[in-house]
Amino acid sequence: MTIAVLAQSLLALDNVWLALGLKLGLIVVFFLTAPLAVGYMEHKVMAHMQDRLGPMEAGLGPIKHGVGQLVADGVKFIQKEDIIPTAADKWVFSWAPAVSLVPVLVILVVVPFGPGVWAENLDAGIFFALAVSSVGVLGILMAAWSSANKYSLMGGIRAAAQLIAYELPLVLAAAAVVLQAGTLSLVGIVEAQNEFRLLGAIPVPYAVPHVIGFGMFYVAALAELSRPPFDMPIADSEIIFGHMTEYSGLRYAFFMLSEYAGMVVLSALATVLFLGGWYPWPGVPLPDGALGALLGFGVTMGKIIALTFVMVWLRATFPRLREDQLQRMSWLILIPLALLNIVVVAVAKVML
Amino acid sequence: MTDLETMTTERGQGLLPGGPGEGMLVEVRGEGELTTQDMNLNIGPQHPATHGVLRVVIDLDGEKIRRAQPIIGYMHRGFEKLAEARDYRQIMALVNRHDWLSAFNNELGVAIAVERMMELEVPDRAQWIRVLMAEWNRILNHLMFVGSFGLELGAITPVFFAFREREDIQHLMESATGGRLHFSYARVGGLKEDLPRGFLAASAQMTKNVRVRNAEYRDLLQGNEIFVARTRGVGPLPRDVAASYGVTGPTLQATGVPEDSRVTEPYEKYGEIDVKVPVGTNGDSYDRFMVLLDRIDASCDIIDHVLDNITSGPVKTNLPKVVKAPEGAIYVRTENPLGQCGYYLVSDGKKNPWRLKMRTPSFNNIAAMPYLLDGALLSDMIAILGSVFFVVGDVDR
Amino acid sequence: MTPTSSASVAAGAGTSRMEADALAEFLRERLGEAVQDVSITFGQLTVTLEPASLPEAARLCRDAPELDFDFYDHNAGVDLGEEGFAVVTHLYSLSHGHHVMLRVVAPGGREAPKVPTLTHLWRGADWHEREVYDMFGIDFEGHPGLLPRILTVTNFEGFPLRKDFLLSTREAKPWPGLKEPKEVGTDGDGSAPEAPTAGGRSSEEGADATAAQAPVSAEEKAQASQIRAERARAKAAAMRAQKAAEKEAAQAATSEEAVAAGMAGSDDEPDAQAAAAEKTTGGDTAGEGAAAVAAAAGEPEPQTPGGAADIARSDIAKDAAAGAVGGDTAAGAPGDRPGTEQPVHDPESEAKVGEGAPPAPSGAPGVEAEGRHGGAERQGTDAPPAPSYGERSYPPDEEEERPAPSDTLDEVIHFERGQAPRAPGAAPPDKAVPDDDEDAGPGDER
Repeated sequence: MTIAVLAQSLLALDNVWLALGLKLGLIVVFFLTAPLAVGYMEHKVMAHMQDRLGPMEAGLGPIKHGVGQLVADGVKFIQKEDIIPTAADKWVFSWAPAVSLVPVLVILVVVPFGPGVWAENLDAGIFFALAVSSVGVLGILMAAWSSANKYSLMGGIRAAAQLIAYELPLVLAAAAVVLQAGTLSLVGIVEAQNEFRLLGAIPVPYAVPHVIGFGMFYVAALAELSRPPFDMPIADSEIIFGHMTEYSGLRYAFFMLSEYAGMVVLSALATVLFLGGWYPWPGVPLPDGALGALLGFGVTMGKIIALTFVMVWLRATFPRLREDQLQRMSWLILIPLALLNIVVVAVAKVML
Repeated sequence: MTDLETMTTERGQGLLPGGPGEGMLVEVRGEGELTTQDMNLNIGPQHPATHGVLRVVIDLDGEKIRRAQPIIGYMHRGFEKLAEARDYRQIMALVNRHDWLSAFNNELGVAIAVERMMELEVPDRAQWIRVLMAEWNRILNHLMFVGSFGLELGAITPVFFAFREREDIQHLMESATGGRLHFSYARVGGLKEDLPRGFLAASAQMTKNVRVRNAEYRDLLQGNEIFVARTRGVGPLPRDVAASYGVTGPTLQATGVPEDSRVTEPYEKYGEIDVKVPVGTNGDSYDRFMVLLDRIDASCDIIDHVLDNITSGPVKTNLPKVVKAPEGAIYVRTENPLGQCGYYLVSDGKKNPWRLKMRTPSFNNIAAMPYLLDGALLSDMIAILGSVFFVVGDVDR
Repeated sequence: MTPTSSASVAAGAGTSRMEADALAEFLRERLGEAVQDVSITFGQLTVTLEPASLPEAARLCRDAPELDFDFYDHNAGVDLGEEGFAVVTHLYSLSHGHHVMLRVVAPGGREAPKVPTLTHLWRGADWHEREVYDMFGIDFEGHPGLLPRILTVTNFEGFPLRKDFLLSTREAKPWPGLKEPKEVGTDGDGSAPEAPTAGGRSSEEGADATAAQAPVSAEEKAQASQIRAERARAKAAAMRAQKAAEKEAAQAATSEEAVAAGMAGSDDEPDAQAAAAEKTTGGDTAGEGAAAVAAAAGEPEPQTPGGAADIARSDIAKDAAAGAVGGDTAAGAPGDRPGTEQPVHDPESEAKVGEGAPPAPSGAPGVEAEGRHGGAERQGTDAPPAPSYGERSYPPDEEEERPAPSDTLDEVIHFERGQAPRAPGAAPPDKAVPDDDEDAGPGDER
């Protein structure tokens, strides 16, 4: 309740800078807590899928069951020694985690979580989000190159190829949605979905007509995050940990945070683009005011959690694709499909 | 070919420290401004994928391996020398430990060697129980590799399921032998003691469980397209190359050769059991893995057969006070889970062996590594290492 | 689609399998003079060939269709002592199913053994020959590269599996199993403790419990163990009596020595003993170990029954009924050295001699390397015998049968410093006495 009230009052504040500052503050808070929740879910869900229990001992107060595991991990990372290999390029090595982390934070500025619950509604929202996410790739390459470690280098080479290859399906799938909605603004896309009726009558989110696009966006998101089955850059049974091999302590925590936060962010984007955003179902209105904002936020979070659950499920199930198979899948299968998708959407939008 | 290349031998000795051509092999290709260099990468000795301290020095062109040379000896403990300083009953504890995942099978091999030299008759019940324990050990070993193979490819779930089975079976073995890994159960002339009450019933139940779970592993891995894509066609080993290297076990059977010591030279009660020997077609990683799963099923069948036919009676024989094997030499080969493990025992009539040569399956299997890795991708190397089942202690002794 | 098929192959695959004598005939026929010897043991054929003809013979084995030895199994080196080294190559035929072992005695004796290589015929020969080189130093002519050494480290000196390369642990302390069972414990009791091997128990059991080899009930087992325990206790009591008598004599002797040498002089006693030791062993500071090696390598007869019986008795008292490893006798027991008359340790006499005197040099520190830790030396005179195997319950019901942990630890510490362990229950040595500075005994290896 307080969040919604706060959000509303923020919008009503006169001082633009104060409002912005508070919104960014909230974003940072969300950015720091959501990965904890997702990480905990990953521990427990993967554990139960593997016929074991997962963290049970670390707890917060009276609740055990491992809820405090990631908090404990954070504390552990903070107090670790900061090691920079002698042969590493110090400046690049030090800044790589930040370069990898900040873009994810920045994307959150444009993502709408509920009616009125967003930091900034840019007119070029989706464009901004995808452009900024590409900067994160640079962080990985910086880390790999500067580590003075052949395994990191291998990881970096693989990452470079993979991330570039999977940018295209990501962008093209989003482009199809933009074409459908007629606006680049994320809030506009959600509103457009609310009004969308398939064949003039059936209210469905964009995931239904764009089912191929949704699949592609999701798969490309997995590859962008280097999540299994696309975790060749990190392949921990081959190249130890890829670009993150030489990192320890807080820098390593930043990389991990960027991965989990990235999961949340890309799931949020997928929700907004394909699953109808904060509307429970297109055409189902939310109550006005603070309650509506809160419910909208809850609906969005529910969809995000469902998508991240599937990401964790895929991690527990599949071995990793070899990088040439990965590349083949992207260039020979996903991109042609994406282009086809755009053509079909364009034709359908004009004709129907 | 540059001069540097001609200087190094076929085995790529330029890569190895201490070799005649020490130093990094650099093969410079291309002309003009764009020249490329091979990267010399050291996989191991500490590495998650090498099943222990195996070091593979590879020469990489991008992701393709141009040349690979395994370097062993990091775990050499001098078992053969130690065996010369122990008597025939003490070497039982030694041979438990070179291939620690197939401990009982090793003990069995040595016990048979000594018994044949001394011309001892092992009682019937002891033979049946030995077969039973050997097969359980085989299942334990195979389950380990089923799990770890998936783990190396990135499928992190089957290993937990496999280890759950392993725990149950190890509990069973512990009830009879007292050990979970090093059993020390076989003795010259029979066994240490009889089985505990309820062991046979528990065995029967456990084979049912294992069969059910084996079907699950098949679903989880054989039905997984990514797994199939990672392993099919990876590291094929032709039959004649395998024979030339002396490769045995699932690796050889995957190439299409139904060579199994339990069938060709039966020992203990294997002559009375119908042992199924699964074979593959082209010896790639997929075939090796599938042979493993089939061998688990075959072992369950053997165990069931033993449970139906086991006799009662003594399990030990009267040994003389001092166990001395007569002068001579004998070579005994048994089918261990990883391959054929042989013991060449030379005796000079004293209490301790004059020479005990352990012909371990993993040594020959790893010798084939340069052939398998030539031209493979780095990720394929992981699949190949995981599928040529070996234990480093077995390679180095 | 599963690529595997089950092939239940009958035993003795292939009708074209040749028996050992047929193989021998064939090879003799084809190779003629090259075959020096043929031996068929346990159904296995070993053909001793002339070294120079090995590659040709191997090629024949591989290429002749009746033989078809396409499978290279292994290659073993054997140290033949004076003759030099032999290399035995084992080949197998996958299609026929027969084996052969090609044996070659390397010319060049022990200094420069050389054998032609077989790497051009089978790929597996590569690593096996490297291993034989590494272990024995046999040079394989024509091998693409025997170095770097395959199993040992690159700068390793020597060739481990040669018989003249001694195991360092065996140098420090000889193998206890060199002693035959009947040489231990001359107490007139018919059933002397068994050989110190793991299987020793089975023979004992086999001898006296033949009927019990069938699955016995718990009561019978308990009864049998009860009987064993009682026998052990009786034996222990007999030994105790004997030892007490001997100790009287020994005490009389040492107290005389101590009085003669002067009690204040802390170095005299060990000097006298060390001098005695040096005289007999030749002054090796490795002392006890070398002496024991010399003694045991030669004729290990127990010179002083008391000394050997000391250990034997304490061991018996502790472990006989449990059927565990028996007397740890050859391990540098001072009693074995001819000419010295020291008890293994003598806490009473030590206490008698006085605090200023250093402890009597006990057995070699290497003793505890194998066998019991310090417990071998511990006088079991006052402690009750350990419960027998059948009776033992885990955790044991009677607490007092085990020494307190601190006692044992102190014993080990004292023992490792070369001092005699004190008897259980005795007071710890006064810490004011600088134990470490004292001559810790000839067995000090540090």
